[in-house]
Amino acid sequence: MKNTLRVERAIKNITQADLAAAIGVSRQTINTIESNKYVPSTVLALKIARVFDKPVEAIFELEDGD
Amino acid sequence: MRSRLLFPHRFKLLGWLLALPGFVLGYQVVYNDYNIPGFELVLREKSSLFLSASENFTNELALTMVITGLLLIAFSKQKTEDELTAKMRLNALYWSILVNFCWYGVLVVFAVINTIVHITSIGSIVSFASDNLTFTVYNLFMPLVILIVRFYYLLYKNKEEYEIKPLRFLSYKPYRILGIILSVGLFTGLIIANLAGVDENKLSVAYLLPLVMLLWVYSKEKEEDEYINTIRLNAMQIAVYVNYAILLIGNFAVYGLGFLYVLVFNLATIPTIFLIVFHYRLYKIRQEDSERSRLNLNLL
Repeated sequence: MKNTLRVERAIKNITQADLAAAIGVSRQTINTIESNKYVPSTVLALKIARVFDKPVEAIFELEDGD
Repeated sequence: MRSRLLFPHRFKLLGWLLALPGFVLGYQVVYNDYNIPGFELVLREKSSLFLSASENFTNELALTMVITGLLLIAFSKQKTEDELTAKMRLNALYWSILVNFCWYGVLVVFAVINTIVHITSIGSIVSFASDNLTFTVYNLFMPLVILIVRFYYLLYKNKEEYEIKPLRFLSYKPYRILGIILSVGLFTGLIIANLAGVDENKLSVAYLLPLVMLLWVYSKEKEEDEYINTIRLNAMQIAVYVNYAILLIGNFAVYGLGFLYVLVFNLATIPTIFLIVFHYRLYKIRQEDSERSRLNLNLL
């Protein structure tokens, strides 16, 4: 799965720590998601999408290997 | 979302305050025969060979402190606990049980070699582990220690991100089938032998039971998916909790030789409880599923 989280964060100009605090996870988790090393749960993905006011598919995308 | 069955963050400090002094006290009790003076209760009218009249509770106290402390350290929430740290903890648990029993397996293999051939290094390792029941005593808390070490290593290895790797399980054929057949076979064989009055010293093949159960525990179902994987890891966590609850109760309820049996059974309790919990949950899900599909057919 790939995500455009880093880009979205840059657009909205918030740090990983801010985003983490907004949804109640740790900063390292956000970093791990951005590095594509962890696939968040559906609830977490929806929370992230809500922070950026976008649909989930705009941020998270299925890859061919999934 | 299923509850994670974790203690609040505050309990972690309490865990350290219990475990470290507990280890020191335990070391003194086991290796230096230390007993807190006066920390005894007169339990029985007079002394017999294995049970003295007054029982000193220092060793029970040490064990309780160590186990409770380690449980609190391992299963208390992080300061920022989220789904990833919970997942890492469960992964570390999978790992720690596996490592603990692999080490046990190595010792069993060494013990078997030792009876056939004489190699001094192997012989000394085996005698170190079985004298004074050293291994069974360490087995009391080693899974928790390995869990804590592994979990914190993964957490603090990289300051920027957490490390999570997918867990691997053995395939259904042949491992699960083999594991089930061997476990059930060995278990029934042991019960029958016990009832038939076979001498206990000849039943040392019983020591293989935890290892064959391990094959069963660490192999996949016929149809495997992420839900079953979640159930499996939660069942492991419950198995560890129940195992240590039993141990703590046994600690105070059983004394002398009886406690030796508790120690030996403890080698097999984690896999056993896991299998019971896991398969019960699977059974319930499959039952609900078949109930639902039956009702659907009726409505159509």
